[in-house]
Amino acid sequence: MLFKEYLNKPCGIRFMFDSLNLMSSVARKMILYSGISNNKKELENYYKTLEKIYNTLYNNPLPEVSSTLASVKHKLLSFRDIDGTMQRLINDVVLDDIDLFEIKYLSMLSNSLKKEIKVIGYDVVNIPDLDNVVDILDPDKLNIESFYIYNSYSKDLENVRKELKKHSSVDDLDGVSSERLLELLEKEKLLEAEIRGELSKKLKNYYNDIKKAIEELGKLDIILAKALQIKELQLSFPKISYDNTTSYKGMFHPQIVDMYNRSNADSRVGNKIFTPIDISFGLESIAIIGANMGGKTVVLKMLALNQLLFQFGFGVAAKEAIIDIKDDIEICIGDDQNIEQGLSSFAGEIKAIDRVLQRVENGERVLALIDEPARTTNPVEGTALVTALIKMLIDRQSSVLITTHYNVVREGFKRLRVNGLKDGVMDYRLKEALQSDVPCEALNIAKMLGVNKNWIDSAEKEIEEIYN
Amino acid sequence: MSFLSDIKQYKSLSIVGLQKNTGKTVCLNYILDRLPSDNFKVAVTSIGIDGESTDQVTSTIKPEIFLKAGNYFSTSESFYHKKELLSELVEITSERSSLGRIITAKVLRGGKVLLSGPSSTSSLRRWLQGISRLDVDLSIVDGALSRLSSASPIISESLILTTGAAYSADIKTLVRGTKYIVELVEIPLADSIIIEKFINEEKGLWGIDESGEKIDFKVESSLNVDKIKDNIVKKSRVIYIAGALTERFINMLSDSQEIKDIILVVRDFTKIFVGEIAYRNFIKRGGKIRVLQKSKLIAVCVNPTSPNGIKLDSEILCDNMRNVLDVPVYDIVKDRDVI
Repeated sequence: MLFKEYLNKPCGIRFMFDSLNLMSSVARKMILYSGISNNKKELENYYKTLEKIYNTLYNNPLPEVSSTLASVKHKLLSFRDIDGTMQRLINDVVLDDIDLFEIKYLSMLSNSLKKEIKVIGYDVVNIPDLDNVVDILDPDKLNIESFYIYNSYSKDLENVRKELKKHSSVDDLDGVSSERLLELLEKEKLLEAEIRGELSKKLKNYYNDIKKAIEELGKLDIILAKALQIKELQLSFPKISYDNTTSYKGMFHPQIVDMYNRSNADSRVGNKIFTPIDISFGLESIAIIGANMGGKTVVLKMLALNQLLFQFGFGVAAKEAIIDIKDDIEICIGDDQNIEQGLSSFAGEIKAIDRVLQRVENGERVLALIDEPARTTNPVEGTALVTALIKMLIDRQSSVLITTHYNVVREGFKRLRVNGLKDGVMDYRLKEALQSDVPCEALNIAKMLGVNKNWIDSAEKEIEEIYN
Repeated sequence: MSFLSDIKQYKSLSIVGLQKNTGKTVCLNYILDRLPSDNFKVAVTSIGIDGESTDQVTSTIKPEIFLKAGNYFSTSESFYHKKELLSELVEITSERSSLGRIITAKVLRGGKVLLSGPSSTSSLRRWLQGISRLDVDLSIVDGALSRLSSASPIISESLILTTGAAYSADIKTLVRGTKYIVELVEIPLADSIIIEKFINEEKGLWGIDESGEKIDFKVESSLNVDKIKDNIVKKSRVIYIAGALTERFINMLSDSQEIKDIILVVRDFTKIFVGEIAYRNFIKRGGKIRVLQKSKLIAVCVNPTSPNGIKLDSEILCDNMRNVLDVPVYDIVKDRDVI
């Protein structure tokens, strides 16, 4: 799947994309249309390069590195998308002055960036040499970006223009007849058109080089933006797992941390701190149980986000991460009600889960994250549905994490629970749950929220009656 | 030569017509032709579609913009292809118009060109900033004065107004109408504190409360007077309207009890779409109008002919104008050799 197809998944990937400080629209487009990577070698090499560039740029950088970085980024700002021009070039359309200017401008930009990034590191990107292209479009070796059909392209053109120049003032034709003037102007147009044709033909030979340069400049923009994001959001470089397990230490959600930072800056509200989470899992299915407001959904979002960040070569949101490569990520979070199909929220959700089930049963390596399945139905059937789902997904090639409030007590699968309320404070960390651990914290939380006391007291009595 | 030396004192100039066919393009060509081309760089653009060989509204023949070697110009991609001059493409800007991206080029051999540049105030501002990188001595904006254009030419330092028979065939009406517009052009700037508060608000209706805090009246524009629920003049003695000032809105203010010493602030005079009577009524009842930005009015240029064949007596027209205006008045065509 392409990056843009994940963009609306409710896990915060859009936030990560928006906070990437990309300079060019080419780079934006490249990321949006890049496919998820499940190639170990490719990811490993990419992170090696990313880490290297990060260290060069931000680990006690030399003064010339910082100034080069600023200059490179500034230049990338004027790196334009010339896709239309490139298509005309390959399809043998005669390029006009604007197209020719675009190619000249890009080639000069590419050449100058090629020189500059040597300071950052040779092997970051591999920009081809476009000197030949520049030579074609800068026949007088002026070394400026502007362009027109220069006199030096043709002696005839030069002569026509010399004559035209004599008669170029507004009213005064210097005795030259208007027919002659028209004739000259037409001849100039014709010669210019011929030259454009020749230039287009010559430039076509360098189509692949120019295309490669565009790609490499895009890659440069992307890797610089990713390195900066790692620094700004305090992300880390993930390791690739070779034993099918994924484990995070100090996992966090950058968007929520960002939100807290913003509200903390507003002194009127209290300080909020995000509790980092440790979690590890293999090819198994796990139930995450525990209190309301305990951050179970956030755990799923973080897992989805980090898996995506990892397989698209971003820094990941954890102190340490060893991540197993998956074929795909299935995220069932939020109301999957499908209005177009006229399905209720329950039907929409069940169908989405059914699709995950199918993929897992087909033996795909999927990371599936399912938030409170069957939550809208009655607890007896709900518990049965969830328990059965988890049991069906055990021992497959996938990792399935399911949050639930239902009392799924059967043996045979791992259950994690949120630590929950302690002395009125929520402890969001996860721990392995014992079999007898029924999550009964809704009443405590309701109490903490200060709702009608009679209501909660009689609810407690109801529970006592049921369990005695 | 005071006309041209006045112009050369400023870094930027807008030429604005009171009406279509009041000789804006003639005036622009006149200035472009007379400005020195040695050691004096001129850049020109237009914020409407301009320089068409026939006017899009009245389909009368219009003079085209004629540029000399050394001039810079910015126009849209599609007009760049139609140019009848030799030019070197210098820059493709990130601005877009309805006719494609905006391109800046340097004229190598003079000739005619169609101009169509930035179409919003912010992109015009960026154009002016961008063009200054080319060490231009004077940037000229062919401006439009109409509701249709969202770009205000009043971010340039100086201004020339063109008026003429196309506005009215009756000299009295023409002089009176011009005098009113000149009065609007000369509306004084608001206090710097007010300017600072509102200069970045591109839309909405705003006030300032007693403690000096900005109030957002949550109204998109003065076109939706109905949506104003607050008694705004009670809440704030300063009212800033970012968009167009309409007659309905100013009448509503004039009708309120607390109108005396109210300061009504608009972005610039081009945002005032209020007839003379409503305007005078507001002033008479004690209201004050101020602007956030203003250009120095250099001259009023008159065009005694109109597209439907009317030709007024230039001398009588100019004399009448001079009697009521404090700025120089020229008939560009007639005074060609004098000024």
